[in-house]
Amino acid sequence: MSSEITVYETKQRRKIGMLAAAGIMSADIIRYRELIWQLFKRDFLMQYKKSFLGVGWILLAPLIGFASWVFMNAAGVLKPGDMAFPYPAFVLISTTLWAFFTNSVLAASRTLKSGKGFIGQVHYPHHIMLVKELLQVYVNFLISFVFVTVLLMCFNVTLSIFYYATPLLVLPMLALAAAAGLSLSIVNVVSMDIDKSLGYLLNFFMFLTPVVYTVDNKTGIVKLILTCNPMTYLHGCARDLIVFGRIDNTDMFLGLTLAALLCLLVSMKWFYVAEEKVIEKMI
Amino acid sequence: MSIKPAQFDVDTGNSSILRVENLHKKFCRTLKHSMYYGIIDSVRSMLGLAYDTDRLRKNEFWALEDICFELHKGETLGVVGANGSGKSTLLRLITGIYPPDRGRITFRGRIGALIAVGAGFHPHMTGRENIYLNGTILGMTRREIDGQLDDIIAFADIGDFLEAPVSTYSSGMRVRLGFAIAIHSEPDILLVDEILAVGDIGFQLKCFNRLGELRQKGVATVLVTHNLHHITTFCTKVLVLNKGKKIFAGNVEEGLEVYKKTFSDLQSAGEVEKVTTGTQDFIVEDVMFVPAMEHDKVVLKDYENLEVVIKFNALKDFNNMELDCVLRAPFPMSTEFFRANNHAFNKKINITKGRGALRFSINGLNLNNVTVHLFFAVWSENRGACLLWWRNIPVHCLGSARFTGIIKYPMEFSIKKDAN
Repeated sequence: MSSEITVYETKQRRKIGMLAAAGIMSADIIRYRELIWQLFKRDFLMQYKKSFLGVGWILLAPLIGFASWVFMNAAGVLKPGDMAFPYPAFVLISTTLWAFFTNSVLAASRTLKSGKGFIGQVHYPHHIMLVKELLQVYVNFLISFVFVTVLLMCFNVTLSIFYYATPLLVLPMLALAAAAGLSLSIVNVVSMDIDKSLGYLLNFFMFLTPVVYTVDNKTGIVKLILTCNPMTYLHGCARDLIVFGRIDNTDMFLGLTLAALLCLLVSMKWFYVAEEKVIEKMI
Repeated sequence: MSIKPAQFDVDTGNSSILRVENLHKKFCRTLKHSMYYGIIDSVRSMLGLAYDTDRLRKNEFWALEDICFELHKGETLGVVGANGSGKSTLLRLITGIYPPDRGRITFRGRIGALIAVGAGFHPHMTGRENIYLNGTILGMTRREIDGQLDDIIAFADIGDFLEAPVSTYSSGMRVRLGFAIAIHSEPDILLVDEILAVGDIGFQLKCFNRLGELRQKGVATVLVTHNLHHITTFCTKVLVLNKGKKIFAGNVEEGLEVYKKTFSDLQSAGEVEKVTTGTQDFIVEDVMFVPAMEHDKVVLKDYENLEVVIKFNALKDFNNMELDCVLRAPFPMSTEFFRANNHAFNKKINITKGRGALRFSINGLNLNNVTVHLFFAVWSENRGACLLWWRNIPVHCLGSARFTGIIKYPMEFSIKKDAN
């Protein structure tokens, strides 16, 4: 018999500090790594089980997006100006990175709901589902990234050396997305409004971020919004490094990376303390 | 959250393995308030502000109130109570699915919960694949699952279906597989919530035999069930809940008497349901019982007839009527032990316009010291209209010192000497 003693009492988690909460959650993630892997395997493989296209569905979004932008560029609808990089390729890379961010936010916001099938039946640390959900998004991103690489090579697009560091360059965006999504996952349990509106809000947010355009020559209120938007740097700098091989705001990128990590810590603490108050609403 | 062993009893012989102290849990009745309190409490907890767990806010109620008990190694605690008394909530609190609002739960070792078998089963995965998935969800390592795999498969006994997707399984097969996995998760405390009712009798016996083996190994069990036979056969003590409160904890026989009494108290306190008493054409002027009701129940002596007289004023003729009556025992789960109508006795009921009395009787009731409930209904031809329908009339059959049990049968005894 194990000698480990467990106590459940009211308001237990309130007494735990931010770093302690992050430590407990991280320890749980390591301890339950086998469960994370099993659930990831289950959901990743089974989502395409009854599909002819199978994993091909992951490639469909960037393919359609690329085709759309090629068509619009050829039709003269877009006037991106002089760019050192083919515009459709610029947009393909940019939107792939943005899709990774939005999918990460949406996935993180489902941290509690994704365990709905057994959350009322067994005890497990619910934050492990964050890792499972983000792992799925990350793997999907890596698969589409390989596809995008092949597509760009077919169009003889010259890629910078930093292109191959993309899986690492997206990690600051992942941290911010995890922080935002984790906090929203609490509210998502008690209100359906998050689920219904988050997709639309993220689509709108894309137009407030220089995803399909650059920051150059912007003035007035537009410039102010772009300057204050953290994704201008986290997304823009990563994209610029990948596309052009350089970034203009290294300090902002590094500073916001640290800020994203801090937000993630705060978010983890809130999740750890608040989730036990909303779990019973799911059962 | 884990604490040091020094704060709990040291593992010596028959020490506590599970202790529940002053346990309270509240829920909210309305969705709107539930959402509102959920957001308020989660925001307040984040900001380090106190949130209400001690008092009831609008539309909140105590699902469990001041529950205390202790369990030692090898003990099996039966938890009984009417539907909605808080049994499943208690198990979920012990499992740690959600926290208590007041009080504390302390336990040593691993908890195995059979609250709903097949947690996390994916319908497109095979039984074998789901063994690994479900076993991991229940806290087993891959090595443990590999070591127990043959035993799990043998126990589940689902044959070739092991390699088929779980979506092709019947509900009984899912229970077999889920229970087989859970029972092999080697818990120190096992919580079982009425899941065995789905399996066939052979599998239920196998499960209880296995639970018995675990008990021999010192595993403590909390068993929630409505099956009183399971309680008397497998439990060493019982906890009786009623509307979230503990009304008894201790000896099994006494506990089951208290449990049975909760149903008598619920239904014999003048709660006769008069669903329909007459129509426009069939006016019911009075319904009388013989013997007459005393303190809101009919009391019958040994083998006395139970008679019901319905005084009516029919404004038209009624032919080929039907009179239906049912007797239900209050436990287990309101069993219907007698049902008949006039057609069963080839008796036609025809009423002509005017006043009269319709009478029926159930003769020679041989129940012993038990309160049952009478339901009766009067219908027009071919059940065209329901003319009278009364439910839950308490009928108490007095006991006889000669008998134990709930039925009195006359017996005869004689001795015949062989002629030599």
